[in-house]
Amino acid sequence: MIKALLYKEWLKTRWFILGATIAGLLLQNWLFMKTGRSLRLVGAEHIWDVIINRNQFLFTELKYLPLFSGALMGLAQFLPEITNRRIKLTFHLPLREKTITAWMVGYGIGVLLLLFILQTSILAVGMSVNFAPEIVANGLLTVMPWYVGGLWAYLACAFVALEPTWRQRIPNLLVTVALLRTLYLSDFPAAYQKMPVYLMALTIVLTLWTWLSVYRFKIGRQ
Amino acid sequence: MKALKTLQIIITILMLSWLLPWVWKLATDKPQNNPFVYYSSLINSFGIRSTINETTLLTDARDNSYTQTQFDSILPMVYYRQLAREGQLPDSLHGQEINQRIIARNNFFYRYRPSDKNQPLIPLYALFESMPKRIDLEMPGDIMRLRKKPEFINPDTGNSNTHKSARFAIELEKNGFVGPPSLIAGNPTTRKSYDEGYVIVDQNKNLFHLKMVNARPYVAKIEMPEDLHLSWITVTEYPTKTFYCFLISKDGRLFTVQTDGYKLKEIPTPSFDPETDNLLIMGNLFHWNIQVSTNQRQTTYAVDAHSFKLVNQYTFETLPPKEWLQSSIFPFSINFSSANDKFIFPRIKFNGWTHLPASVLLLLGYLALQYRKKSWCPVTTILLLVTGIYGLLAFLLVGDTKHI
Repeated sequence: MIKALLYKEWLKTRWFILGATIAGLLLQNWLFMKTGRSLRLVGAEHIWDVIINRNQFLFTELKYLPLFSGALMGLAQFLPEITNRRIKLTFHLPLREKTITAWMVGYGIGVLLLLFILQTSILAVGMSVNFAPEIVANGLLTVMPWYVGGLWAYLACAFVALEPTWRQRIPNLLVTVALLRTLYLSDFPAAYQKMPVYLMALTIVLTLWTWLSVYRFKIGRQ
Repeated sequence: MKALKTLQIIITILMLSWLLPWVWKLATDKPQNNPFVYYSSLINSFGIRSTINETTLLTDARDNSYTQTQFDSILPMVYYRQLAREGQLPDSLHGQEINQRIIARNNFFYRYRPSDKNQPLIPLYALFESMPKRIDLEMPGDIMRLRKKPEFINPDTGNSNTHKSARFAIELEKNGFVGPPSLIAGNPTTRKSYDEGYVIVDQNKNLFHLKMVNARPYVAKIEMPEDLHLSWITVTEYPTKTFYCFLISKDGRLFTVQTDGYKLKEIPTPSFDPETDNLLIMGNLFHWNIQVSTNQRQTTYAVDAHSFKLVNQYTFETLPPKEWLQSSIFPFSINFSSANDKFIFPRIKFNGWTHLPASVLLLLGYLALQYRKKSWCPVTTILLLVTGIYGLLAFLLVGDTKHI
């Protein structure tokens, strides 16, 4: 049963997964080509100086990639479910609603985590070729809130889409947009380095909130 | 599910307590016009330029008013270019010959903000050649990593220069340096007239001066009182070369490290917290204007540039912004950023109890409404009392724990 459920999720999201993987690879490839060109034209020492002393981050174009990936993954997975309230059929499967949602959301998070781990690994390895570990660590701390933003955007989609009433969907949307906004308040490199606990805690809360929507669905809120 | 609903209400409240005060501030914010204050040794008082209702007032600390021309002439160290253009710059002042070049050479501005120190840093440093063969400074071709021992890395290859690293390590060790350092200060830019390298605090709270002279390490230990705990260092590299750097201690004392024998000199400074207050020093040939700005006041000390004795002082009390209305509506507010640092994290500010009347009114309104509906939620009642308007809006937006 779970296998079939996951297969259905795969069918819904396979084009997104392919698209997001290619888009990520293309963007990163372009960014590394751009960095390589700068290194050739002005020299590594100057680029290091710009990063260390002028607080520049060379990969700012990555900022909204995880956000869009998360949101699109959420839409690809949950938009078909809420069209004509098809989710009702899913919830008629001989499994608890909580279990079904856990597998669905778990699948989405798993796919996104794989995608994000792939992207950050490429970033880390690519950066280490040209930069000192201190600069790589700073870079990873800079992209941390952006990738958390991708997970939150996905969870926000699930939370909002699974909610059965528009009366509640709009406040849910507003609160999750406000939460997402907190991840994009500063462009200063590594500005979010004091935030891992906050980011982790809210990721758990947002994951659990999907159950809130499912519960309301189950008790028949219209 | 009740716990999840409560969490939803609480997070909605927290988001509202961030967004609503921010919108309020956006709508009501006014500029803070702190005056420009500068000591005039000609009138033995402070010249003050302030802006009130978009009108500029030129006065002194004794409330005498000046025209712009008079103001220029009482502050020749500030307006020397204007005076020179009008042929009004005196040849000498207090027995000292002055001209544009001498004044410019001796004038300096030093600004310290808490965010200079409280920001993410990448611990890699460019150590310049302090005695370059050419007149201009050049990038050194490597970057210094200073942990237990120094290591010089070539940015092009990523390899470390073991010979140079070992030479610097031996010299630092010989002078008693114990890494990794707790504080490193320098100006890693070629846009300066000369280089004094780095001033470093090591693990044992000892102070060192490190620079590279003719490709060799130069290390000097700087004697410092044991009870002095440094919060921040700024290497100055000013044209007069009378001191190497400013030291700011954790308890807000200010020192210079003099170029003759690395002697520390304490500079009289208004009461100062390096974590929250701004420091501005405007120095000239005769006096230093040392200004500390806090949320409540801006205090300026005039200090003799040679003896470092306090000559005069002026305090401007900043009018507190009228926050009565705001604090009676909003019980607290959350900010993710601050002017005092470059980090993003939530910081909560409580506005006291002035919100209670409004909160109680909102609560009574809620109870009356719910009494008619015969539906009353204890969690919402408590949240309304404690969080006032945020609680009410959260209730209207996401409901209460009784009706999931």
